[in-house]
Amino acid sequence: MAASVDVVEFQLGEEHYALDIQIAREIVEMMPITPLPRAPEYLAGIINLRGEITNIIDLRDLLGLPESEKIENRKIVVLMPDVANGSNVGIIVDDVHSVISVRNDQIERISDGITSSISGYVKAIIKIGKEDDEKSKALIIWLDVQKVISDLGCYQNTQ
Amino acid sequence: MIDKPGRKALFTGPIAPGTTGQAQEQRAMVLPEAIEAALHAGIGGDDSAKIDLAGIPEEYRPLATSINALLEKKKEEKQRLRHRLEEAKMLLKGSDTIIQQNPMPILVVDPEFKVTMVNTTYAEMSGIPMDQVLGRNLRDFKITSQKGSGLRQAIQEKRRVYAEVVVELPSGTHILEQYGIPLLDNENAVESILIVYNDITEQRESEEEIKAQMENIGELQRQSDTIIQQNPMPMLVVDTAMKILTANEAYLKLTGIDRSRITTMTLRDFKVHNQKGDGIKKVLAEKVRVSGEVTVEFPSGVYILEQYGIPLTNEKNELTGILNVYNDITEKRKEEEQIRDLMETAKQEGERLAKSAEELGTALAAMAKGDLTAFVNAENGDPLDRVKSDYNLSLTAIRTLLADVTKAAHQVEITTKEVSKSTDEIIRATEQVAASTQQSSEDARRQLEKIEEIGTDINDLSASIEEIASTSQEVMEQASKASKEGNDAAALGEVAAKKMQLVEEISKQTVDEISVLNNQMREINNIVKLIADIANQTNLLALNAAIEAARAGEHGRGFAVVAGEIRNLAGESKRASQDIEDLIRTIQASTEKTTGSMQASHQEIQAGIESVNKVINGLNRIVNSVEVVTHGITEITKATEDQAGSTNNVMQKMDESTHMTKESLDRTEDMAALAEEVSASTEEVGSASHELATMAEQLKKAMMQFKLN
Repeated sequence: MAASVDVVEFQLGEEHYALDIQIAREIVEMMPITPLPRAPEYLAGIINLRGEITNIIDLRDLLGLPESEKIENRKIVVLMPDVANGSNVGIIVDDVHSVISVRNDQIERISDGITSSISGYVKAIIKIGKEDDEKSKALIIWLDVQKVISDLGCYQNTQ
Repeated sequence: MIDKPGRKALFTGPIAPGTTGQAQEQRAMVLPEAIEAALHAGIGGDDSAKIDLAGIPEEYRPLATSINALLEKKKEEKQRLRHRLEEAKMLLKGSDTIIQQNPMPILVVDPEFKVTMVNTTYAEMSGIPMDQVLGRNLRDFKITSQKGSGLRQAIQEKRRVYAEVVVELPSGTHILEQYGIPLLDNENAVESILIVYNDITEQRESEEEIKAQMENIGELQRQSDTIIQQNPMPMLVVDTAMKILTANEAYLKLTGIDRSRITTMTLRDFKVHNQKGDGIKKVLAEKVRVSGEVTVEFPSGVYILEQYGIPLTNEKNELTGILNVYNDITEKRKEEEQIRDLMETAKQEGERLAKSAEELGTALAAMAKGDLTAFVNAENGDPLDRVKSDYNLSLTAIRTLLADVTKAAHQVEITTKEVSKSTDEIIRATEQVAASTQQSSEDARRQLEKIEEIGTDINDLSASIEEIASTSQEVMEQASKASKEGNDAAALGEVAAKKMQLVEEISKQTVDEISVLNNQMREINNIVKLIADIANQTNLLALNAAIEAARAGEHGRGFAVVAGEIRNLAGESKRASQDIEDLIRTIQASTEKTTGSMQASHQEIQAGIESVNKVINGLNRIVNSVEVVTHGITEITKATEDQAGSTNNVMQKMDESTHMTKESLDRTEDMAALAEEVSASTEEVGSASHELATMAEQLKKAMMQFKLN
């Protein structure tokens, strides 16, 4: 039995993405977000999650993806506090599909050399999907969410 | 047949000399064998067998005597038989001769009709040689007809039969009387048939001829009878004693004597007043045709008759009767006599007339010269007595008249002059009248033409009116039809409106039901949304559980599987709810569409009902209008009829007027013609009066010539 790793599969726009299950605390339904004045563009606002103020980041804006029209299934993935140096952070995704177990042979690491604005944030490409299933042949981009968030912190800090 | 050789031998036997010798030998024989031998000889046919009594013992003598007697008797019997046989032979020969020499044709045939004997007469008659007739069968002869009994009957009934047959033989067709006589043998069976013929061909032919002649004679007799009976001239036939035998219809009609009585009369019974020419007695005496004239008294009156006596003689030129033919000339004679009398009288009268006429002639000659003083003497008995006295009177009258005439002529002369003048005036006036009437006639003709034009116009008008009447009649029919149809349509429209209302109600109900359905759908949708929500939450919970399980590492592996399953279920629920939601959305969309169309149809129905009502109203209005129109047309029809009547009246009046105008025109024309005639007449009168004046003068001069005193 080949070694496998669990990831949470989610959707942004038409693309499927994945993040490490260790950094996800829970997933909640989209709820009204209170925007903060003079906040940066990617910070959608704050919510009250069971008494805790949680910052909500719009990952799309952060990744430079176009605004999506599908909003009905939007959810908030609340991350573990240690991801953002102890502060509560949640990211908005268009949908959360499932927790999937990915075998090592399904993971394709990509080199850093490829020029892409997000290349630094992509850990690998997961090829799940059976050979004959056209839909599930799609690739899943495995994001390094922690790096994205910590880069924000750097950015904030540099600011 | 009878002369068979066997029989001859039987009788010639005893003549043989041997037998006598045999008998003599027997005599020498011993007793009683002598008797026995004699008996044997007798039985054997020896006639001369006899017992010599001398050689017989006493005791056998009576027997021998008896035997001798018997033998003797037998001998006699035999001789008698022989004699009879001779006779029979003679008879046979005779009968043969009878047949052969018979002048009648004779045949003998056997029962099979085969000819066994024939005589020469038959051969001559038939034209078949004798040897050929023999052996021929009667059936081979051609018999064209047969009357009476045939030969077959002769065989069957064994009696003589008679028939008349027509048979075709080589010598020609013969009519024969046929007598068939059956000849019987000893057993009474028919041995052969003797047939005797009698040729009656010529007899029959002559009979036919006589019959034809008789008929011819009968015809001639009938003809002569008819000639006499139907003759229009009276005719009588008398015998030599002057007794009347027959008289024809014309005679009976002339004399008035009954037919039954006439035959009892003689010529002497008639009363003859006068006779000229030869009498009937001369016919008796000289047997020549005579003619004369007699005056006879008949019951119907006295007649003068031309009488012709024609002697009727038989073949020996003996007088058998006289045919008297009469011609009634009574009327003719009477007329002749009258004419003679008249001629005599006329002659005497003529002589007297000549004398008288001479006297008158002298007087007239004087008068012709203008001497009006010559009077004539009229004596009694003068045939011209009246003429003469008339002449004298006339002369007197003429004298008086001439005096008057002279006087009158003078007067005429004066008057005619005046008349001449007046007539000239009249001529002028009548000419004017003629011209005026001509003018009036022309005016009247023009008037007539105008009237006729008006008549034509009125005729046209009448035709138009009739056309209008018929058209308005048609329009009226159409209108009433339209009215009826409008009523029907209105009724139909009302039915349609009712149905529309029903449809409206139904559609309203449907709309209501659809909105109820919509509400329920919405509720279902809400429930489905709730289910979807729950599914979402379940999904989320499952995800979170999966995350928790993953974080738990190996210990949470089993939980992760459960969480995955729950998540799957939640996903399915969500998909199902999604499907339901889609379905409901579709249904809602269609129900909404249905509702929309229902509402549209509802509106349409409303509009339809309104239209139908409008149509009904319109139809009712049309019906009302049509009724008004009908009424109007009825009025028009009535008015047109009145108009037609009036026009007809006008026409009639026009006709009358035309007629009157025509009459007037005719009259005027007549008048014009009359005026012209009058004018012409007047002119004639004028010229006549001028002439008259001239003539009056001439008359005066002429009158001077007469010597009156």
